[in-house]
Amino acid sequence: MHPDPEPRWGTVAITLHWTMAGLILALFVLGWTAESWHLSPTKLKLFQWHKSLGLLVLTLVWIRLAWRWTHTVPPIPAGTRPWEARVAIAVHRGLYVLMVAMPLSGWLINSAANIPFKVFGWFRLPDLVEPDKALKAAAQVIHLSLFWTLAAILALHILGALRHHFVRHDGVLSRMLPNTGRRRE
Amino acid sequence: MRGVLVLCLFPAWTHAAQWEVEPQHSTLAFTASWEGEPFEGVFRRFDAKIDFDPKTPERGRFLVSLDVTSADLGSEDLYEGMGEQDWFDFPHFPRATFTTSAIRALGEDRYLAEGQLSLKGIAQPVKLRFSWTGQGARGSMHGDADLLRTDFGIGTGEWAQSDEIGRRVRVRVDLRLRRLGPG
Repeated sequence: MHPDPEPRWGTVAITLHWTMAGLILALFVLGWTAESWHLSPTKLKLFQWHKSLGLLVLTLVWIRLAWRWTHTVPPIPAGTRPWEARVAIAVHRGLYVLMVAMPLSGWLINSAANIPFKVFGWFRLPDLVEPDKALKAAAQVIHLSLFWTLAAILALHILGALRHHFVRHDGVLSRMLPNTGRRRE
Repeated sequence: MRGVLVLCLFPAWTHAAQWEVEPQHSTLAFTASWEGEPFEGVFRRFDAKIDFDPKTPERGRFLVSLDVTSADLGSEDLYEGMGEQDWFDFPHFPRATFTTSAIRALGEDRYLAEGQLSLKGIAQPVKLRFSWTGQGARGSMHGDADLLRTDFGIGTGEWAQSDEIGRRVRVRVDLRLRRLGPG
């Protein structure tokens, strides 16, 4: 008997989670490919998509945070050890911080480098700062460092989810999966 | 030094009315486009020998000489790209010149100068529309010319077929001039 709502993530949260998971993967592939591509129109296009999708993440993450602040989220399962709960909370907070910080640091690079850029070829992105070569170099270091941090935290996040599913069998992963109707519980 | 060079190139210079550019009050700029967005660059170092009398425009002549590597695009990244071989190829072609062959009046204070722009080792005809105002020893000229970067081999290879960086470029000149000696 649960007086609380069913301990599942809502449709909005699930949609946002998997949309952004896909976007982050696409951002990684686009960013890495663009960076290593020779200077050509293709390189510019790859960067344009990378930047546009990054700004989409920056927009969606606020919607996601707003959803979180206005909804009850499924509880950490009973029987979780305190250190595990602390790691889980830290990983989730880290992911939210990075989903904001990554696009912002990219935006900073673009502004400091003073590259004209239209989001999805649609509107000109305002510049955060004046052109500044040193700041651009610093922002690039930050962007790359944040990327490695994100990769590490994501690895923990994914390993944690798989452990819940295959080792603990506690439904923590299932409650973030779309409800296909064939879920046992 | 450049004056000597100009005299050698134009021994039959008519001396209708010679003007020199006041660099700190003059601009040589261009507008290109990046993913459809206009962006502007300026050339910091250029010089112009101008022989022009609005009463006899057909006898006028301009020789503009510029240091292509003095381009300021407001972005180090863009500047580096601009110097590449596919683009302006700074190491091989640091200079460009524009020499008029004919100037005619268009009415009011408007004129049209036809000439050759030599850029990246390629000379092509270019038309410069300009307005001229002069009073005593002071003059000013405002003009613009439209050109296709690909005519000059600017942006070769994949860039030639792409409008990521637009093919159309507008060059703009705003000169403040001082008359040299009596005409």
